[in-house]
Amino acid sequence: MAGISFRDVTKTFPNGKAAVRDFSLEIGDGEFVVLTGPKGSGKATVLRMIAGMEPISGGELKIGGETVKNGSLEKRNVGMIFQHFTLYPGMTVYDNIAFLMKLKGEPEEKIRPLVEQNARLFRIENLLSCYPRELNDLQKQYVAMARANVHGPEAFLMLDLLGSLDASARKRARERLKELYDQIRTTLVYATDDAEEAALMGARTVVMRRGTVEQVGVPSELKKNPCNFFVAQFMNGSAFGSSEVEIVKGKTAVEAMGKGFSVDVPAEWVSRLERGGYLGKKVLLGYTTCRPADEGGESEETKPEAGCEFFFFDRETGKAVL
Amino acid sequence: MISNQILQNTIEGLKGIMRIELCICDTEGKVLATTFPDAEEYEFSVLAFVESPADSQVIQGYQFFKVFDEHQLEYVLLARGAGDDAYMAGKVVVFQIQNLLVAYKERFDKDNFIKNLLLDNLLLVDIYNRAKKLHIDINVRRVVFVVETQTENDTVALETVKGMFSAKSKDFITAVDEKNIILVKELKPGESYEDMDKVAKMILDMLNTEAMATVHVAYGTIVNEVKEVSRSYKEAKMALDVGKIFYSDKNIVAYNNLGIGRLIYQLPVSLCRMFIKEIFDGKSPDDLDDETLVTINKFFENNLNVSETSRQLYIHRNTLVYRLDKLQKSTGLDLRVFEDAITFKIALMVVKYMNYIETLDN
Repeated sequence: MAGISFRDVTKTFPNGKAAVRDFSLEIGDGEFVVLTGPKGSGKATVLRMIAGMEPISGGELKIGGETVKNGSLEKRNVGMIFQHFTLYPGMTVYDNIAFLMKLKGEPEEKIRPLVEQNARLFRIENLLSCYPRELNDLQKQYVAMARANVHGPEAFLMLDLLGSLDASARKRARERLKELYDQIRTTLVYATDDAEEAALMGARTVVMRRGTVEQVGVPSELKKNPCNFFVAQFMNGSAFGSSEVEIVKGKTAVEAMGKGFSVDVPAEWVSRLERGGYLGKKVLLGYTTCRPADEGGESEETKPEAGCEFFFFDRETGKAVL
Repeated sequence: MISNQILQNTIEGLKGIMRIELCICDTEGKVLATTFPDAEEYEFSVLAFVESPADSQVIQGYQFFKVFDEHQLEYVLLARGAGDDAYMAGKVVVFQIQNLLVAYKERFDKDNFIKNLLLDNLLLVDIYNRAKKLHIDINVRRVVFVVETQTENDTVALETVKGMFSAKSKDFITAVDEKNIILVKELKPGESYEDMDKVAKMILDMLNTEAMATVHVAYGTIVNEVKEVSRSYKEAKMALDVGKIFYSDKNIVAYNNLGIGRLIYQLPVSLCRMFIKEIFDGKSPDDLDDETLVTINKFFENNLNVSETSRQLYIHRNTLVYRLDKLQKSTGLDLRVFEDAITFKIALMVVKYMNYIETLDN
């Protein structure tokens, strides 16, 4: 499939609702990219546009260097697994993986080696004669992945795939997914509304909100240098607190004065706040709490303390103070 | 009729167990399935056997058997060998094929019954009689899903849905036209609309990913009796229509969750015209330019918040205020006032509905 390039792509449904707006993103050939953002941020629509199932309404989408026409639907050779996948209950694992090939009338001598090769890749070769009811959730995921991979897709698109697994199975599935990516090196776009899941994938991550890209970067960068309040809050999750503060120049240091607390502004932020003309003005202070919000009550009631990481945002625009 | 492929699979499977060569011919001597070569050589023997009064007979080293379907001769079976073993094996195969015929007819009849049930083509008394005859439970909770595919006769989509549900013999998958796949799903005790929403999501995700099909899924209300299945079907069809008109951004629409779209969909067109005339004084919101429509939609999307809307539209707050003032002058409706905003929103939906009705008329 080579690279995928979005330039100011929009997707507006006939009822006027814009699912994707001015979306720009470059995905390299064989790259692993994670799309994350709250529900309704347009992740699934982006995946569907890549797969050719959702026509674009505006902008430019290039796949493998070729421009996709506005409004055109064109099925592409992609392997997709979405959150609510299921296995065909009346078929064995072998038949599940071979289903589409059999439907297309491919000969058995072509089907069997492909199924067996994929089963080995996903370490489910001893399960080929089992029925889905005999498998655990993790094994079902592997079968679904093998089923999606058996056609030799040029890109893999996954939507909230691991969301239904328990914590330990999720960890194993995540590791297996990364191993597999290392083995097959096919373009992989993984979408999830779970920021923690996105961070654990460790790949280049795109934070989305209301159909637009908010910020792109590796998870550690997104957590430490968020471009705005939304990214800081979303990526740091329950460990994030915020409060409105006034930046005051004290006798010895610059302080952030909030309701019932005051903290010294770290040196690296002082110059930025001064440069931005925020001295004596109110800004939004964001901070990573040392304990999760549910232990310390509502995040709004927690107070920043020593050891917290601080971020300062413009009160009006929500943009980080640069 | 049973496909030759199924007949072939059956005799090959039975040959694997009994180690006896088998062949099935039609009543004109044509070979339909065989496990040995040159079976065509026996055509004349088969024709002679069909004419004979015997139900089984040894000819040229083969046991010949007649396979009946409700006293109607359907096939002739050949089992290699003249001894007791070949006779017994032949009898087993005849029994198996006759059962396949019964199962096939029952399935076909069930499909026919479900189709007629959905389309309201059955009298109440026939519904109960035929359901009983076909072993279909009468007092079971069911819900009808309609899956609309973008392309006509999408066999991959149909087979995908069949693969997902056919293992449960109490769910029925059928089609009454080229673009819609219908699933009549039996509910387990305790299953609710929440579970049905999961089923709809599963159908959507599977068809998107496996069949690469762009589809819309709609479902009706849960009904308690077989006679009410057609109501659930009509509701699902209506949900699909309402979804297309008002909620085109959604791929799953439930009848019990249609909101205001349900009310508007059921309004007489004459009443809609009267309402639009009253609000827009003969003009149509379609006459509004794109910029104004985008502004209005964005303003509604942001809950009438001027700051957020202007931010998202990349325009100055005063520009947005100017546009809203201009709209107020032309329509008399100030979208910043809740009552006017809701009137305008409903009017936009009514216009969408009227446009849809017009496309149907054309």
